[in-house]
Amino acid sequence: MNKQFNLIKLAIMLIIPIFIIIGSKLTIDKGKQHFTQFNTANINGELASIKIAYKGVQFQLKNEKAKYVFYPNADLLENKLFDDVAEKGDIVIKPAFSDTLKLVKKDKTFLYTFDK
Amino acid sequence: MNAPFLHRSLTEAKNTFSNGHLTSDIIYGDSGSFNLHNDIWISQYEQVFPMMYGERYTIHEHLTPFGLVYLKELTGFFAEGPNIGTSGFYNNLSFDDDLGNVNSSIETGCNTHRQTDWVKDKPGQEAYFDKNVTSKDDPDLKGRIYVGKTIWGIGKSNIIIYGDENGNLSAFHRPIEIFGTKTKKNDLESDKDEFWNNPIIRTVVPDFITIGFGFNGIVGFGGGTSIEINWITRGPEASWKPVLTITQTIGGGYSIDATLNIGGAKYLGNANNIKRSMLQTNTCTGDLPTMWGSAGFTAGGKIGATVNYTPTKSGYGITSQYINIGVGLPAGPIPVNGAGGVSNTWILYDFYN
Repeated sequence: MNKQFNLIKLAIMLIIPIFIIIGSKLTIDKGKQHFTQFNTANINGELASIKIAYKGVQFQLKNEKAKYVFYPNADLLENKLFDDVAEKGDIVIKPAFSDTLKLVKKDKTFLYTFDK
Repeated sequence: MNAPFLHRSLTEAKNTFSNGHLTSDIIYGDSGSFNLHNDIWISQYEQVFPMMYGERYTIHEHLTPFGLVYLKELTGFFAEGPNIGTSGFYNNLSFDDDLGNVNSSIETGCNTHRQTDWVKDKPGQEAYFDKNVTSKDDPDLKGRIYVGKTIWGIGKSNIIIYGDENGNLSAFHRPIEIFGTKTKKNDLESDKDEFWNNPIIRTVVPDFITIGFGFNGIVGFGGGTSIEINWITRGPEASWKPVLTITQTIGGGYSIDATLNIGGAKYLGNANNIKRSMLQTNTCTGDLPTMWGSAGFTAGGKIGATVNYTPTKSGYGITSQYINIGVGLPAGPIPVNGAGGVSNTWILYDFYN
């Protein structure tokens, strides 16, 4: 019983560093993958969906399968957060390798730079 | 390409120009933004070719009409020249190698950084001539030149905003760093940020401050739920306006309690990269869950502590610690309980906007 208890304690002690190491590695890799996909894409279309994911923002364009994840900074001019402002139906434009994503709403345009 | 600038004394430079006037292309800012046409003094004698540029350059000390501005250029390269084809000329005089240009003033349209003529009567001031702009097509964007556009202003974090003739605005995210001006306010702002983002202060006042209420029902295996109000204290999205979140936990151990949870979280990376969306951890959308562990003394009432760790894409995780105060049942004759597991947190509402 005592031996079993010690094994459980050992397992718990190992789980924590394993989780941190593997979890960090997986998350970093995923982040790089997301950035490469987003950075190289020539994005120009209507927003079909938008939500917070991977501690950033995930969106999908109408008639496109790809889902893009990026980490926008607040709007350059009005300090608005992308996930608060962007809605289904808005237009997003970002040429490949551009530093800025443009969000075009009916009456206004917002500019978002993003983390790399 | 490595020689950052050819420095010439103004008197020497003046000799090159027939009327002694140099162009006014200096870039400056004090409170974080400016409008080119309203805020920059422009010589009546000639056109303005605003330019900014990036990495490899030394620190500049610019004497502007309102005082000194200290610039340090950062990663990448940036230059502006709205009048391609003409900026290489000054009163029909070509800027050539004699003035420090590599060449091709006409081709790049903006490969010269010229000091403003408010120093023209101050011999001894240096005029700077940029030798580095040579390519429009550098794949790393170093040396990339935007032509036909005008600097509109400098946004937050000194991000450069520029526009074309149709009024379309874009931004350039390889900012110059304005690390000092004569404006005292700026110095104070900078000092304040430096103090606030100091590691010691971040330990004392966490990046995320949280107050919540929740309950756990874990006997061997189980789960819990809590609802929290969070304030983000650092980064560009910091605000007194809170974010309302809900957290669902599952785990093992023994923890039957209902507690008020007060604490905070610290992002282990740069404080400037903190975002409000970091509060959400949703395994359903691909996030790895937060790992948590808690322990406490329980004898009817409970006082305990919970610690969490959440990985992020930067490799720097988020650690958090909470004090739990409330009621709970002990695991056995000794009045303690404890549990551990994983959790997800969803943002219910952000009061930021």
